[in-house]
Amino acid sequence: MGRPRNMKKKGEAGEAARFISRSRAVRKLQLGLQAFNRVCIIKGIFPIEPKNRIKAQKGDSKYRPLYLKKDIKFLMHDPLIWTIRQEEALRKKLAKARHLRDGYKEQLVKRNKPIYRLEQNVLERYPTFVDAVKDLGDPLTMIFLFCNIEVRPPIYEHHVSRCQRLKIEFLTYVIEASCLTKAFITTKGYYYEVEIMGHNIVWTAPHNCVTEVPPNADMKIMRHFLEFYIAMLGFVNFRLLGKVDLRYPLKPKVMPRLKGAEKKDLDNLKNLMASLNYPLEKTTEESEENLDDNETTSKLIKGSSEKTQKVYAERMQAEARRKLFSGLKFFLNPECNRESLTLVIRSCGGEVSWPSTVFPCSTYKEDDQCITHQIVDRPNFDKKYLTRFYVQPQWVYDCLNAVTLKPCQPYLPGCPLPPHICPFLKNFEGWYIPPEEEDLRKLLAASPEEKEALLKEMAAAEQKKLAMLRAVNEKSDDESGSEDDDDEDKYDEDENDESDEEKDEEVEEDGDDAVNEADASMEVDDGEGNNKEEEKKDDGKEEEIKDVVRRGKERFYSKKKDESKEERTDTRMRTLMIHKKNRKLYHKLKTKETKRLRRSSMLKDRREALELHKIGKISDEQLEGPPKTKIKQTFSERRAKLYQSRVRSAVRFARSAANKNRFRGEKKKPAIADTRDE
Amino acid sequence: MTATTLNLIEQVSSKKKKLNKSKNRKKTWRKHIDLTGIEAALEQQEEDERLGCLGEVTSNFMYLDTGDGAADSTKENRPEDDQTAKKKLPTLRLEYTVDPKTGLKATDRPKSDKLIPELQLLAGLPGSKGPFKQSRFREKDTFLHQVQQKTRHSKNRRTAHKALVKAANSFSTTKSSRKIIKSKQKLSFDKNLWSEAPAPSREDELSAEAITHMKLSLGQQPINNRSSKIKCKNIPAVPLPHPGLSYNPDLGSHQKLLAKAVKSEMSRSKQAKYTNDMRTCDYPKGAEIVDNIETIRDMEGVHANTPAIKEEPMEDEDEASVPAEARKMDRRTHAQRLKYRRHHEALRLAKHLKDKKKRENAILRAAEIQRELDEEDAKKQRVAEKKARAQRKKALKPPKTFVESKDVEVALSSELRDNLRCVQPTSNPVLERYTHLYRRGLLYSNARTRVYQRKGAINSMRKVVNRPGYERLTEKDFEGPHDVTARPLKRAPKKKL
Repeated sequence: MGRPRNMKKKGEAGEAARFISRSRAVRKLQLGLQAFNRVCIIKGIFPIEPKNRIKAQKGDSKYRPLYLKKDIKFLMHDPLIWTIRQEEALRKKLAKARHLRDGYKEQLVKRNKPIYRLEQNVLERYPTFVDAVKDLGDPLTMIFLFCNIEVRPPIYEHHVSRCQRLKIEFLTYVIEASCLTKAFITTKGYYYEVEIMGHNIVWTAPHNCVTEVPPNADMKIMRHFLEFYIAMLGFVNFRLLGKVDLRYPLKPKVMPRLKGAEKKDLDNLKNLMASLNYPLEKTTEESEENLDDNETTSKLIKGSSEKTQKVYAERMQAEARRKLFSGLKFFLNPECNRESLTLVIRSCGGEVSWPSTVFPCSTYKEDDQCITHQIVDRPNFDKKYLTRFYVQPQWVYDCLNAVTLKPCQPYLPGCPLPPHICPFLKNFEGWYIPPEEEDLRKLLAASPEEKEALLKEMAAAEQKKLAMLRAVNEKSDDESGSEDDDDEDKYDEDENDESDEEKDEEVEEDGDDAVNEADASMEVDDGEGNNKEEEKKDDGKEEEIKDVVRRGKERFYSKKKDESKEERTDTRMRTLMIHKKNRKLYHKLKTKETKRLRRSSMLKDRREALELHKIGKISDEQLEGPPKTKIKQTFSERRAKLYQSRVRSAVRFARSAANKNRFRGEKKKPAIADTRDE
Repeated sequence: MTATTLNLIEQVSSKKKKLNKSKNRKKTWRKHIDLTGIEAALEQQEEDERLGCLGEVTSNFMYLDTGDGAADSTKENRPEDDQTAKKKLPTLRLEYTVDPKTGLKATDRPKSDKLIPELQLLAGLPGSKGPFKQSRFREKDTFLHQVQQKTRHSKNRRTAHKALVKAANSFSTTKSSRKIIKSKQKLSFDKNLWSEAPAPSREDELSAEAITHMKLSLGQQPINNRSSKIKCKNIPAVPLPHPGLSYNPDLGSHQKLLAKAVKSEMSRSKQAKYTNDMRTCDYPKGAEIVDNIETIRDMEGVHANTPAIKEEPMEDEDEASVPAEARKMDRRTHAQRLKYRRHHEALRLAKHLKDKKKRENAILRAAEIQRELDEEDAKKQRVAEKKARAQRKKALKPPKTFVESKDVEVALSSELRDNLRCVQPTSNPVLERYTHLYRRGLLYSNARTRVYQRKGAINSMRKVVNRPGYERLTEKDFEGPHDVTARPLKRAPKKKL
């Protein structure tokens, strides 16, 4: 009596037949674990999480990395495996020769090391060029990271030098194509965004210091990744540089005359390329075309509808970004990050130079009268020339992100800088947007003509703020002289402010829901200019209310209230329509949203309060609240609290899965435990 | 003459012929030899050496190699059917005639070892020099060249590449040449990989204007071809930064990030505390107290504190045991009564002894178990100490599996610098990249990182397995009298997980 014919044996079909554990796969391929990792990384085969792990592992509940059986079969017939096997065999021979101290044999074995290229694998993984471009984020970050890493096995010097070469090639492409869109400085490193073939690629570069190799990370695995990425980026660079008509590998247009030892040193030649500021050899001569394209499109857009304008806005912005620094001459002080700044400035059409002692290929000296901006990163710097602006490096990045030349005054050396805002804007509902980010959004949305007006407005608002601050400071000085006289006036002012705030609160209370509150709070106000607008709005509301007052019963009627009511009923009906299973999730999401809204409104209030405190409208107590005093608990209260906590812990334990498993099948407990206790 | 005789004669004659064949092969060789041509050539050579002049010059024999036209002249002489001639033979040049044995000089073309047809006869003779031998490096180069030519015709690129690599490895060359080849192989990216792409993607074909037109008219973006083999994960390759991460952040976003970091840190510490508590004790906190204590406590109490059971008078017992009505009804003689009493007494004694023995056995067994438990405890403690020692050691070494770092890393407001020059990186970028690879499931799948959280309970990632190290005692163990020493303790069979 066996199983029926139709039934299959356990582990022959379904999830169990689809997957294979890593150890089994390694045995099947006749490789070591490291070699297996290497093959998998190069071929792009990664472990997969099954739907049912226990079924896939044939009843084993222990965690094991699982691979698809199909993938492993695919690997079995790959020619790369043969070379890796050969390498492993050679490694053994090498070890033997070293042990025997047979130098000749060692050399022989080393010579016979198999050579392999990864171009076939690159082609397999990225059948078209666009696929490769889409996936550039990973290789770029990896290669920028390994450019200044500490050299320690398994990472060797040649890895670093290759990475540096590829990095320079890619940066020259970015400069030539002027496709840099965003740059952001964080405490972790630099974030850049580039647009290639309509795809936005983000990558990170570490700060300018040697990064140490951490003990936690498995660097052998990282090396395998790096190996593949080097091959991939090499081929991509060739294609990209070809698009910009640059010769590959890069070669300077005019070879400089070097003498004696300088001639022999290859670094002198490499530095020409690494400077990112030296003219390079091209495959074809430059032809000045498509220069008037932008003008014609701008003319066309003027007469077109809003929809077309929206579509073309991105293109126009990209064009504006390309010519952002055109006609400007920059000079970098030695303390600045040369590479990053040259990338940003040159990709926006500017010219750069630096002191010749810092790096080769400085095109002009500091005393050049044509320099428009000098970038300084020291607070105490002696300014020599009146013809140029002395700016901190943040100005360059902020200008790129806003696609406008921002006013230089707040960025002067020694000044407290305005916040450096993230250009990767998030458009979630209820996301807290600080006023500075709001400005950035406005600037990005505006047309070039509107931008000037906006900048002027912003400057005026800031000046007003400064004037207010000054006035407050003066007042405080006066108060120290005559305190009694001005006290009353001040109180009056405070009362007025309070009354204003109360009004605002009343308006907010109209909408009962937290969502409505947040919506109201989303209307961000910048300083005083926006406060005025709000006041106007408030007046309008009052008028509306007056109009709608009816005879008979005294009742205020507002449109907003009605709308909110309708909305609430709508949402309630909608939730009822949702399936029972999904309703829970919906509520969860909703609560999360409201939480976020509350949080953002709280932050906004706090921000407003802080700004008012700066001006002096709010006292310390109002800002921080009354000082907290510790409440003394009685003995019984303390005891009750302790008891409650114990009960809670007991309940928590009883509910926990661990406890359930433990006492599942046992009704009576072992009799031995009490003897132990005694 | 008959036919048979004729046949016989033929056979004999044939045999005779075979027999008459000379054994000395040299003779036959000499018979058909004709050395006139060779001798003439040798004489000519000697003359040449002596006088230093050229031999007879014919129009076919000598010509000037003038680039492209050279190949045409060879075509004329080449026989059509001969397949061997299809291989690219070196063109005959002026140099050959001047110095025929040195096949190579300052020419880049691959040279063969073949001599001029007139001099081929000399090959192998004593005194004549052998064909020119190329250096190892050149040999390899020519071989590679040949292989490369072959690959052009071959359809399968992979096999061609394989052959090339195999050919390269089959030669053992000098170190310098090897280096050159290696560098050529590995670091030359000057090749358009995607030149022979089967179908260009839609975006390549469409111009920017066409795309904008489509956006306007259709209100959708053109769909890209999804041709890549590997499915990308939901996590992006480079996650976008939080605005609070800026080196000079605005107050709100920085506060937000700080709050996030604090929250994650708190939850982690809470979890760590819980898991640590779990590890220190065998049973988790709040485990129920065992109820089955009373039985053994009574027995121990009897044994240790209370004196032996008082023997009550038997009559009373007897009276108590026999009901009054039965006593009235049952009127027995003294002898009968005595007999009855004795019998009962014996029974009681036996029972008492039995009980006593049972109790003693149970106590002995309990003591035994206690001792064993103590031993086991000690063993456990030893193992725990060993484990702790190993962990302490392990902490110094880099672990085999990955240890996850903190989720959120923020610079505190006091750590933020005014100048870009003074900014110090908060985290290690290498470790961060590694963790990111881990999170994306490129090293292991993401199963381990998941932590399910229920209401009012923190589920640790550690699995609690109920596997008792000793035998559980039941009531049956205390029933019958038995020898502790005779019966060894049974271990509970290991449960399969």
